[in-house]
Amino acid sequence: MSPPAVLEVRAARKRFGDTTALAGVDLTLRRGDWVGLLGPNGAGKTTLLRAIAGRVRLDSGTVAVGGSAGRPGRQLGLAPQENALYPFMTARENLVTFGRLHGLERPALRERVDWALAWTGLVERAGDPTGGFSGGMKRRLNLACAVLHRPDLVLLDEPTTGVDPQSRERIFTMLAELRRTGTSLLHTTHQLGEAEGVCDRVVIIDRGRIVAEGTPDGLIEQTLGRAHEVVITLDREPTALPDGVDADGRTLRAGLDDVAVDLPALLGRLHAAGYVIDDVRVVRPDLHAVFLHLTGRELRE
Amino acid sequence: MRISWLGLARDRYALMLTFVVPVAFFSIMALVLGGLGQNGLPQVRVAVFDADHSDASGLLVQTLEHESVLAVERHPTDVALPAREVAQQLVRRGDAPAAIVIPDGFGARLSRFPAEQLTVELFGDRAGNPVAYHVVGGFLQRALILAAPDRLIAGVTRWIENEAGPLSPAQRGLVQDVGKSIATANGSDASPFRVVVTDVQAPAGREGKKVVSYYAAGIGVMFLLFAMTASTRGLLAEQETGTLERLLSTDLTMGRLLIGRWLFATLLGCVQLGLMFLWGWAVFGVELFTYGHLPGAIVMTVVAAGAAAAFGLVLGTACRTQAQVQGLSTVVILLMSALGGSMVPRYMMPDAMQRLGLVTFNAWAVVGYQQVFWRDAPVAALWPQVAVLGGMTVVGLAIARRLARRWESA
Repeated sequence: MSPPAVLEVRAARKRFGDTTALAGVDLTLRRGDWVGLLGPNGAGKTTLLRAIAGRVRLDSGTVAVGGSAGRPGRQLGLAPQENALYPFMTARENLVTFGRLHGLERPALRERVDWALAWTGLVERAGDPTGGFSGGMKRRLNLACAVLHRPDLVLLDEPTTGVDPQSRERIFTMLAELRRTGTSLLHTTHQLGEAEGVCDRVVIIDRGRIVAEGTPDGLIEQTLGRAHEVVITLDREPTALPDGVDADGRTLRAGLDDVAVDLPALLGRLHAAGYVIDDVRVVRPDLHAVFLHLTGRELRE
Repeated sequence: MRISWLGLARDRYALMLTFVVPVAFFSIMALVLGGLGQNGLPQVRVAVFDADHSDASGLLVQTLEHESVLAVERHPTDVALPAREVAQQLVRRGDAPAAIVIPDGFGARLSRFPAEQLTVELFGDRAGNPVAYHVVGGFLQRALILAAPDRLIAGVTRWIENEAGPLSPAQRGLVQDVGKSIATANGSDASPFRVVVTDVQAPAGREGKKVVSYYAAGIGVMFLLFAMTASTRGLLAEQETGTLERLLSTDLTMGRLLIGRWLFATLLGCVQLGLMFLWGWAVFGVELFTYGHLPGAIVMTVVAAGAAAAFGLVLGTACRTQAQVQGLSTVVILLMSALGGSMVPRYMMPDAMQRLGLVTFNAWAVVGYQQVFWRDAPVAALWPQVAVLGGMTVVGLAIARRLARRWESA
C-alpha cells in the first residue's frame, strides 16, 4: 500500500492576461517523496509552487495539501528563492519570529529553535544579526525557518542558488535528514545534476504542462533509450563515414546501443582506414539531454 | 560625469525630486501666499453689518470696500437677532475671520456737534486668525477718519450757522481746521471715534507660548507624516526581500499584518509627537500641563498619529517600490503641509486656499492642537477634529486593505 498523498494537484489552470502559466497540471506527492521540478524560465514552476502555497488563485482545478483544499496552513513550509530573513534580527530572533507565526508556542518553540540552530550548524552564531552571514549560512537558516513547525510538505524554490559546493552538500545532507523523518520535498532547480543526484522523482514542466515525470534513470531510458553517445577525435577530417556516425570537423559522434561490442568495432574500422585516434569519450545520457529532447530549450533559456 | 548623468537620467524618482518637486513646491507656496495685498498682508474677509442704513454708514462701508486688503461682505441686519449677536456667532463659528457692526444712530450722531462718542464694534478671533483681528481694526479706524470728516464739518457748520448766522470765508476756514484736528486726533483719546474690539474667544494673553505651540503642532504633524511613511515603507521592503511571501504563507493574514503595522506606526507617532511637546514644554514653555491642556493634547496626538499611520499605509500599499514611496511621499507631504498650515499659518493664506487646506490631514490636526493650546478647549470641543481624523483613518485603512489585495493571491 502506497503512503498517503501529502499533495494532490488536479487539472490546475491559470492564465495571467494572454499568458498561460498553468495549462492543466496534475501532480501528486506522497509522504517522504523528494520531487525535483524542472523547467525553463517562464515554464510555470513558480506559479505552481505559489498555487500550492495558496498564493495564486487557480482559474480551475484543485490543490489539496494533506487531503484538504484551501489555505494549506501549518502543513506547509515555504523556503522562497530569496533569503527571506530579517537582516537586523539575529538567527535566533528570525527563527522565533517565524516559529511564532507558524503557531509554535513555548516550550515547543524553544525546543524547535534549538533544534534548528543545531540542524543548520549555527549554534555558535545564534546571537549574531543575519545581515552579516555568508550566503550559505543564510540559505540554511532560510530553510530552517520553513521547517521549524514540522510541516508535512516543504516547497523549496531554488534552495542552492548562489552557494558554494560545500554549502550545497550541507544543504542536501539537511534535506535528506528531513526526508528521513517523513517530510515530503518539492524543489525547483536549474541544476539538472542536482536533481538527478538527490531527487527520487523528477517532473519536467514546459509551457504550463508537465511533459515528463519519473525517476531520473527511468526518464532517460524512456526518452533516449539505453544508447550511449561516443565522441571520437581523429588526427584529421574524415573523407568517408561509417553508417550512423556524424562528423563535425575532426570530431565524430555516434549513438551506440552496446558500447562493449560496438565501440571496439568502430575504432577498428577507423584504424584500418588509416586514421589516428586522438581521443575517445563515452557520454552517458543525462537529464540535460532529456530536457533538451523534450523541451527543445536549454534550462536557462 | 557620464556615470553620474546616466544614473540620474535613468532614475525617474531622483529626476522628479531634483527638478519637478522644487518647482511644484515653489508654485504651491506662491499660491498659498499669493493672495497677499499691496501691504504684504493677505486679503482679509470681513463681514459688515450696517444697522444704521444712513448715508454716513453707507459711506463708511464704501470706504472699507475700497481697501484692497479687505474683502467686505455685506450682511443684512433686518433679522430677528440683534446684529452684534449675529456677528459674534459668525466669527465664533469661523464663518468669517472678523465682523464689523455699525450701530443704529451712527449717522445721526456724526452730524451733531459737539460730537458724541461714535462707537463701531469689531468682532474678531485672536487665536484663530490674529492677522484679521489686528488688521481689520486698523483699517476700520482709517476708514472712519477718511469717511467721516466731511460729515463732521457739515454738522459743525450747520450748528454754528444755526446759532450765530452765516459764516464768513475766514470763519469757514476755521471750521475746516476743526475737521483736520479730528483727522489728526486719530486713535487718541480726543478722537470722537471709538472702535470697540471684542475677541469672540476668551482672550488669554499668552500669545508667545501659543505661537510656539502652533509651530510644535505644525512641524510635529509634518514630521509625523514623514516618519509614518518611512515606517510603512517596510511593507515594500518585505516584498523585496521575500519575507512578505513567507509571512503570508504562515498563519498571518494580510488584514492582521496591516493592522499590526498600523498599530506600531500609531504608537511610534504618539511617542514622536509626545517627545516634541515634552521638549516644547521643557525648553520653550509650551503649556502642556497647565490650563487643562493635557487630556486634549493626548486625544489629538492619538487621533493624529492614527490618521498619519493610515496615510502612510495607503502610500506603502499604493506604490510598487520603495523609491516610488520616497518620491511620492515627499511631494504629497510637502503639499499637504504647505496647504494644511504646517509651514505657514493658514490665516496667512487667501480664503480659497484656507478652504482647500481643509482637505489635508495637517489642517485638521493643527486646528485640533490650536483648539487645545490657544483656546483652552475641553476634550469634548475637539469632536469635529476627532471625527474627521478618525474618518480619515478608517478610509485610509480601508483603501490600504483594498490595495494590499494584490499581494494576497494573484
